[in-house]
Amino acid sequence: MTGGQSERIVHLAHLARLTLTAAEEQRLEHEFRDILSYVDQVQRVQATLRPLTATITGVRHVVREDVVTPSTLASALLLQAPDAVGGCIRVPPVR
Amino acid sequence: MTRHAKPQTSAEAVKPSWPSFTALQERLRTGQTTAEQLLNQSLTAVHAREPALHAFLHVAEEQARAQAAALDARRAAGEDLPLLAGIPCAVKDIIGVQGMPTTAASRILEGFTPPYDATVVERLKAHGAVIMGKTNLDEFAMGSSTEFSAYGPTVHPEDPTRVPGGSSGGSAAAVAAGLVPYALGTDTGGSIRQPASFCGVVGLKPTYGRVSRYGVIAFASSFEQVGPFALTVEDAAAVYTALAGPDPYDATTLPGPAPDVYAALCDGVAGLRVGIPREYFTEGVDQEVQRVVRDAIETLARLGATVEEVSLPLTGVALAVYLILTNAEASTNLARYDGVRFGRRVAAKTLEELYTRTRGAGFGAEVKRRILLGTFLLSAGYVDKYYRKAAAVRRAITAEYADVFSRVDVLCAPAAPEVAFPLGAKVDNPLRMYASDIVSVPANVAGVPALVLPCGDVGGLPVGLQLIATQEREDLLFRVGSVVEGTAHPVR
Repeated sequence: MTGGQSERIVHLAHLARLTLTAAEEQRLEHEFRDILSYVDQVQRVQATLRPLTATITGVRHVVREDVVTPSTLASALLLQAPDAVGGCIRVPPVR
Repeated sequence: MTRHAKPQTSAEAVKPSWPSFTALQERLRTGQTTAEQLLNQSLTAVHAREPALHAFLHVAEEQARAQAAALDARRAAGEDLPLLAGIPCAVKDIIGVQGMPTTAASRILEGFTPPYDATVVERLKAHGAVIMGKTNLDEFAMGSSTEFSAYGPTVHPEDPTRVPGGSSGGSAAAVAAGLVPYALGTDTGGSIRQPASFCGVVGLKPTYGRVSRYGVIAFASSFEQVGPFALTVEDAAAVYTALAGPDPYDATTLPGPAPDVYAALCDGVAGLRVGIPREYFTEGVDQEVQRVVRDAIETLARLGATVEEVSLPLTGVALAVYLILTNAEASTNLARYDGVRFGRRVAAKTLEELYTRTRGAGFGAEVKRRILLGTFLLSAGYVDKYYRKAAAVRRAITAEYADVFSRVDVLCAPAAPEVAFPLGAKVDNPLRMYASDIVSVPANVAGVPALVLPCGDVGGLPVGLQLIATQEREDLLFRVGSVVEGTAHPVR
């Protein structure tokens, strides 16, 4: 594997906020190459890049009235946090 | 149908049978059985097969007993209860059930218990279902064998050296082994249909948007649907009916009530136009599987359907489209698992370290592979070439299916390219594992519904027939499915 490939995996891991072991990095380089070469076949299909939409059923722009309704979920959700203090979730400092 | 003689464990020799929901409901109504007794039957079966089968990640005995007792009390008080009331079922552990652990078979959600029910769970509960446990799956529904579960694989209910399929392998195995008469799964690229085929049970992927995804842990939001595993087509129709319909909490659900499908069960196939898509019968699909499937299709011709070969030329590129789009969506959907608000948190000195260490420790190899691929495919310089191109080809595939359905009513095809493969056979080769979905991903790409039911076997291992219809025409699937079921030799 060239240094370029390895840098790509390291760069992507950083973008995805994931740590990888050296063994994982190496394995992923190989796998990436194989999978990308497989998915490249989409390039051979004629299809125009119209405005992007992720809907395939035509369902879009589903809206509701902007009305406040009570929610009892907030306190239950706070209980899920690994470290919650005084109604806030505590995390390490940014730096 | 011949089977290899396999050594039978005493558990297999007494595999419990479940009558149809209609028969069960009659017994419940007339007092011949109770919800408690049905639950006992389920739990006894579970204790006989677990932990070896490993279909379950969590058995919720206490909650299920409470549900069953409440239903028995209501019935004793003279209340008329729905068809599913009192019948035990299991739910794939990617679907949130309030008060029950929900892990998505990942370490990153170890200890997470949702404070609310998914809409599909709410609907089952409104129908009186007794939810007795959460089933095993490939981590975050990413896989085709259930071997990528962070908690260990589920094995095939009839051959413990083989996989049950995936990602909903636990639910498929639980139904096939007679532990419950139905279970919920999710299908993003075949994750209900391929295990249904491998395990010899009925499985349905509804039209995209027909069933709510609220409370379902998201993998690829524009592909996935919740659907039932069941022992018969009619029972699958009953569960589908309970689940289907718009949900204000899921803006991708189809507006308007879901059409009734029960009448279709008795409509027969005379005059129906059946298409055999030639691209689903290529060398990538085992020859024996093709033969069994074609035999089942011939039955339809004898019963009055017109059968013709059709072509869907873009079928071969559907897997590539699927891999690009689902991995892209997954990289976004799994960004929320960062150790901050819920789930597992790995100790760290800075916020950045919190993210990277939690995610590095919490995600398995397949999940990391897909997140990184998705990140790449969406990254600057590549997003047009891969993501936007794949989205455009997706629209072309969707149009191709819409076009073929103007000429035929239903497509018949294999549900999987093979029968259940041995454990370990594909885990080290991602592309070989993805290839197990080559005949199932097109339906997710096009958003069309598909039903799988057992139609024979190869060497004693089940083969499923896949029926595909155009969007919102689940009725045609149940119509054809019930005919095939009535004439095919049941696998179980």
